[in-house]
Amino acid sequence: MKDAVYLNEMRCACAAGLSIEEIFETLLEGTSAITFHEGYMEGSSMPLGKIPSEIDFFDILHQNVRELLEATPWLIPCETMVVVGSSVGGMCRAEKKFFRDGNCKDLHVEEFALRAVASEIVDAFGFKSALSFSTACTSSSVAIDYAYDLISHGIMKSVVVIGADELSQSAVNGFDCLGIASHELTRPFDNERIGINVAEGIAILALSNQKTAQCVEILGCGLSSDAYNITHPHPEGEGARAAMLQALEKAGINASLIDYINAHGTGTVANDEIESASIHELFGAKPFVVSTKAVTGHTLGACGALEVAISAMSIRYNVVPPCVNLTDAINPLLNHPLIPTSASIHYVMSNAFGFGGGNAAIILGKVNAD
Amino acid sequence: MQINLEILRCVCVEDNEKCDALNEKIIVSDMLLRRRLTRNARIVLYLNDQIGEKQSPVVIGNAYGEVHETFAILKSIAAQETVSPTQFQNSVHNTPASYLSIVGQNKGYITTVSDLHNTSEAVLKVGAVKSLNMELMVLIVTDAIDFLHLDELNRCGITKKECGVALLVRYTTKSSTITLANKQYDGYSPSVWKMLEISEKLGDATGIITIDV
Repeated sequence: MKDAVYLNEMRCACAAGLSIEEIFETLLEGTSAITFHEGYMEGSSMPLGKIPSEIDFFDILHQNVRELLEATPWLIPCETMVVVGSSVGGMCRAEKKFFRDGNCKDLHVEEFALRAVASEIVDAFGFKSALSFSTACTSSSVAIDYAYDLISHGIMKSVVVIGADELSQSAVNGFDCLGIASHELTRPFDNERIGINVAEGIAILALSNQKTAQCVEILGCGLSSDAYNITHPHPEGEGARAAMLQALEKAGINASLIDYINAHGTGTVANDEIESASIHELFGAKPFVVSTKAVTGHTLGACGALEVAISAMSIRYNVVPPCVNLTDAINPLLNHPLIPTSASIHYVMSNAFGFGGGNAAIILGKVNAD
Repeated sequence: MQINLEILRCVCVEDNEKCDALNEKIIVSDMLLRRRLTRNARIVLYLNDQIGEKQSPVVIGNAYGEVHETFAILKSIAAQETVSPTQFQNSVHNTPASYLSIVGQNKGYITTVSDLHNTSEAVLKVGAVKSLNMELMVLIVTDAIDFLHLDELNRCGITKKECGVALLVRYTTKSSTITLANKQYDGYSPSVWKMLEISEKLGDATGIITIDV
């Protein structure tokens, strides 16, 4: 018998707001939080998802962990493990110093390594231990999956999952060179979509084996690999379907019970075509299907945890945010809400698919008030 | 909590400069794909091939990531040149995992963890926890550090520029047969020490180790 795993508290920051409540409010308003920025790509003003704050990214991270711990007095840091999901770790610091100096003489591996996020948080708050997953855009979903195992097997009573990726010139230029960074506002699931809006984000989740007020249950995680191509998803969506089916199997629920799918929905030609078809094949036309990346941008390694937090808000408030910038859907048979829609939301699936062919699906469920 | 892992096979590869004889032409028949492989990916593919369990779940540990490609991208941006798509796709931390999945047609659980100098421990911990749900697992740690600006960044005296260790493991309830002395290996990246010690102790034998998770 495995322990149940609950998502008890969350603290988030991204372009759409400095708290999960503010982010969810922006999502319900249906306005994109993407803004245009000079300085990330030579000669171009790029639409990016930048956290609306002058405070340093790592200071925002610290502040959110502090707030999370204040809200969870039952969570004892020295008995709690931190599991980080990030695609770049502290690489932005390397970027800044390298562009300033033209060399690495003032740079230490500890600053830019993937462990940078975990080190900062463990040192500052005295957590028991930490480790970091880096699987591109599925990084923080994979971190949630590991946290789920730690709690469900009774190894840990509580785990803090952190999804964090800072906006970097490398990412903006890199996605642009692959031809998938949109120079306009991203349009997930639209026939006129042309790519992603690169973004930054932080999502900090407190998971435990204890029911608390307003918590949701994490019912199951599915992970798979495409085994197809380093940048392109499998054309028939084999890996995406496998992850979604595995999540359903682990959650022990039928596909017909899923009320809302927070899709990966990057706004790229390949992802949205494949995800759209896979969802329709597995779930039919019933569940709401929304990509919140039209508002937040693609927060890369942080998106899994951020979108699990958004999914939890939909369960908590029984409302699904609208699809933004969607006028001509790839598959008009899918249930893409264009306005905020109130409905009874019991089960949500949140997808994240990554560079290199990693796929993740996480199912959350409403917790009865008993 | 402690989890015991039975180690069924160990493979190790290392060189002061560059590991040769990684059998790339046999393991990766597609020349275009082979040419794109990073050094870490080549080592991972070789180790997994030698372990011989190509469809098993895999945990890959890597302390520094694909630093060579990352700095090549930064140099391009600084010089106002276009970033190379191959360099960008090879710059992410899970590059070896992606190539492993593609080359071996492994569609299951393949993940990448990192904990800088404690990366071996992180691989063993994730492997131990995941082994509770899985039959056999391949655990790999690798660090190929012959990257751009190495002379400026290498402050801990690493002279072994390439090293990788792979273990084939499964969960067991039997008692441990190996005790580690937390040996330090001069010239090697600390990220590989723990798994290197396991490999050194076991050689061609099998054994059981206790992992504190």
